[in-house]
Amino acid sequence: MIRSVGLWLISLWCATAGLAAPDELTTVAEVRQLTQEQARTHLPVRLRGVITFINADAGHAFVQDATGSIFFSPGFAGTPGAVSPALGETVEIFGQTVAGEFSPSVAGGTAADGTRLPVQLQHLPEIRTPAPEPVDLREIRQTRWHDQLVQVRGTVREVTGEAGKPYTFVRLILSDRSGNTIEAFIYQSPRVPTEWLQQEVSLIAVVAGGTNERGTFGNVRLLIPKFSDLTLLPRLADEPRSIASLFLYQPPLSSYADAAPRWSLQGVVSLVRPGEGFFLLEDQNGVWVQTPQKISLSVGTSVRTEGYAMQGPRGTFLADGIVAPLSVGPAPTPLWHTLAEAERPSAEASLAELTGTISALAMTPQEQIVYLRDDSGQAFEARSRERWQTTPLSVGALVRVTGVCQTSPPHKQPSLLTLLLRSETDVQVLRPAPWLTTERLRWLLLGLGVLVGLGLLWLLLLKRQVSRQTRQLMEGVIERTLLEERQRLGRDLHDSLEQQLAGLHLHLQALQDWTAASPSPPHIQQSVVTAGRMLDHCRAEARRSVYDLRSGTLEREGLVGALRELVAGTPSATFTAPGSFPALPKITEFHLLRCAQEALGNALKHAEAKNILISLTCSTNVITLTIKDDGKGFDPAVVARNDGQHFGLRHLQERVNRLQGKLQITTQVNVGTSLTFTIPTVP
Amino acid sequence: MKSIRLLLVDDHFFVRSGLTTSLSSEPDLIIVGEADSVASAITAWEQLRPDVTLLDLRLADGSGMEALRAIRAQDPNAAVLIFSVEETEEDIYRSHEAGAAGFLSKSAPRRELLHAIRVIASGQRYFSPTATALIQQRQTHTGLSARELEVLHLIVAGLTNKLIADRLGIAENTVKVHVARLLEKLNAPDRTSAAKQALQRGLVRL
Repeated sequence: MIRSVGLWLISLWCATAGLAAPDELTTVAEVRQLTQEQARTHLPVRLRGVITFINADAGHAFVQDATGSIFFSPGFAGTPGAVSPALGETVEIFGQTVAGEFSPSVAGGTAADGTRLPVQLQHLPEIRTPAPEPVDLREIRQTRWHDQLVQVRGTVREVTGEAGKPYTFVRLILSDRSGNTIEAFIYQSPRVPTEWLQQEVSLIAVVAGGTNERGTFGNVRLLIPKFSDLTLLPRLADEPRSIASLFLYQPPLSSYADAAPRWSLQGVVSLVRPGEGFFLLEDQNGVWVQTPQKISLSVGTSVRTEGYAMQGPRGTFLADGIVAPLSVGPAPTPLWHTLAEAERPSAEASLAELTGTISALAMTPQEQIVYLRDDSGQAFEARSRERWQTTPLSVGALVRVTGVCQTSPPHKQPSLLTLLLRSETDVQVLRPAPWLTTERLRWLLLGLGVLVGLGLLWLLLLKRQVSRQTRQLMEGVIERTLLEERQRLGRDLHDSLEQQLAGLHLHLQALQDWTAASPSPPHIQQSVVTAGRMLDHCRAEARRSVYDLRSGTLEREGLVGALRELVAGTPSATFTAPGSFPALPKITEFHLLRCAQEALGNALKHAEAKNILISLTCSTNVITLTIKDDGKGFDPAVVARNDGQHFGLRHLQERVNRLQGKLQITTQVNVGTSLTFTIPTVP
Repeated sequence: MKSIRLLLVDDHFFVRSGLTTSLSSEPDLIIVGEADSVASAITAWEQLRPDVTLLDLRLADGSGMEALRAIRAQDPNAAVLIFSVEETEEDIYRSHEAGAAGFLSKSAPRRELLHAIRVIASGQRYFSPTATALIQQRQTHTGLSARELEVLHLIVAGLTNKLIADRLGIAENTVKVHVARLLEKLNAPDRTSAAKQALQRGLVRL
């Protein structure tokens, strides 16, 4: 009990004596260290600090202590509980933590409708707080600067203001050497300071901002507490320096703007990129001047400019330039005329006029790109942000291009010179593209190749056709010649040999009759009869030869066809030839046909057979011809006597011997005869 | 007995010699003359007026058929014995039609030759049973037209329809019609067998 009373007394003492209760947050840093979630739990806050910014109409105020600066809610002017401390006044603020727009801030609490209540405030004697932190504008968007009082320098690019009572609201746009711009506001300005335009200024401001859509620090702007917080910095007083001297410049180690040197240059504009900057030409050197300054420049304008020397990927350039046009003159003359000159590092950003042949054309959303090769085949390119309307460019054309030299960044290898073109007139077509472009030549060659291929194919086919037709013609000629020759031979045999044998036959018949009629020695009679028979045999052979020559069946259809034909002319004969037969030598076929003819003749004439069966069979390497009849047969002993009466069989034997085959004769009187010819089919 | 006067017409000396030897020994046969061509045969016949003429069908200057017709034109009763190596159906038939008194093959035995001469000399005709059969067979055949014979001749010579059309100056389709008709008339399944038949029957002579 005593203890609890003691605690209460201590806390009361603390509150009345201005000492912080143990759970109170008493420095800006402590509050800023909270997360937004922690800040929402309304932790008690008691801060002692100086008012660095106050806008009672908007309900904005910042307080700074030794550890930093923070936003607090002073309440809207005229509403209950609103406090209205003066700028620079030392105060003690009582309130609670609330979630701020980006980092925690302080309010008197949160009403039921969510609005923040004003803090309680007590005036204190003046205390010292740290001077504003000098910050380079390039780094102003870092989160640590949120709500903080900073000192920055930048170039005023826009000044707008609304005159009001009792003060004017001024909006500035500042640029810096990083190429960025930032908004700055003066809430209590006596006037709209248009004389600050295109001037570098130094100013003190609170960095305001909130959470952007990505959840990071955004919408950054500078709140300038009062008009006098802004100081105009002097322009460079000395004469402009040369671009060459700029290239000798080495950037300082410190990144703060105060440490960076400003440079003043004078020259002629060689290329304008509105909103981004321009290329400046002076003597033999050129340089890129980056500036957001809204100024109407054209190629040929003489300007004076000052800005920060900066290192870019392509070397030194002038950043955040303040530009003053001096006079308008003619477009500068290109300095370099060969690729070797234009590629030198010292030619970077200067003007060159080069001649080359277009090797390719390309189009990107931003640029039109012309790829070129000079007369030694070295590649370079030209880029234009303009779309050409009237100059028709085509691959193969010889053109003269004028533009600002730009080598590729050092990390890009091989390096390639780019000429930045200003307008369509920077491309002059010296000689239009020849009709025969590489592409067309390729197609032509391809077409020619196809034609030659087709031609060759046609020739090949023609040659084949010709050789086929020639072969057919030759075969036809040979066949016709053979046919004619056979017919001629047949006619000759028929006309002479047969007739002459017929004459001989008449003589022998007469002789036969006479020897038979008159008593003459038997051997004479026998001889005459034998001669007659031999002659008959010869005539029969001659007839067969004539017939075979004329019909040509053996040549055309082979042995089987010839035998079939032979049988077809003889009603009492039948022929069988089962299976297929190999191609036989012509001589074998010829002799076998003759044998069959002879045997068939004998069977009909001598044996008076009723039925004759001719069969042809084939086994491995052997062909067998059998002629079997049911005729009278004969006595082999008689035949064997060799008396000249049965030379037909001898003749058959001779043919078989010639074919190195075998002839087997089986005969029985009044039963029939069977002749079997067995001929090897391979020699 | 009156001798039979003979005229021998053959362009082969061997044959005339053989006939002379074979026939002259017969007492009733007299060879009055010999000829070796169509022209000389006609002249000899006119001069000699033989009882029987032995005539070969194939002569140096033409066919024996021409001589036969010429002789028959002068004397419808002239007795001509065709003595030939040709023994085709067509030869025998045409000889018969042209008024030959007989037809004999040169292969015939001497006895048959003598018999035939004597039969013919007596005013009768002599055709062997084989020859008579062939004549009858030929009469049953439908005759081929002149154009069909031409076509058949060219088929035998080995020409295609197109070449036949070119040779005869007619359309190939017309040739096809002729070929179809002659195959039908010859009762031949194809051109090859038609050609063989043409040769065998003597419709075409090479």
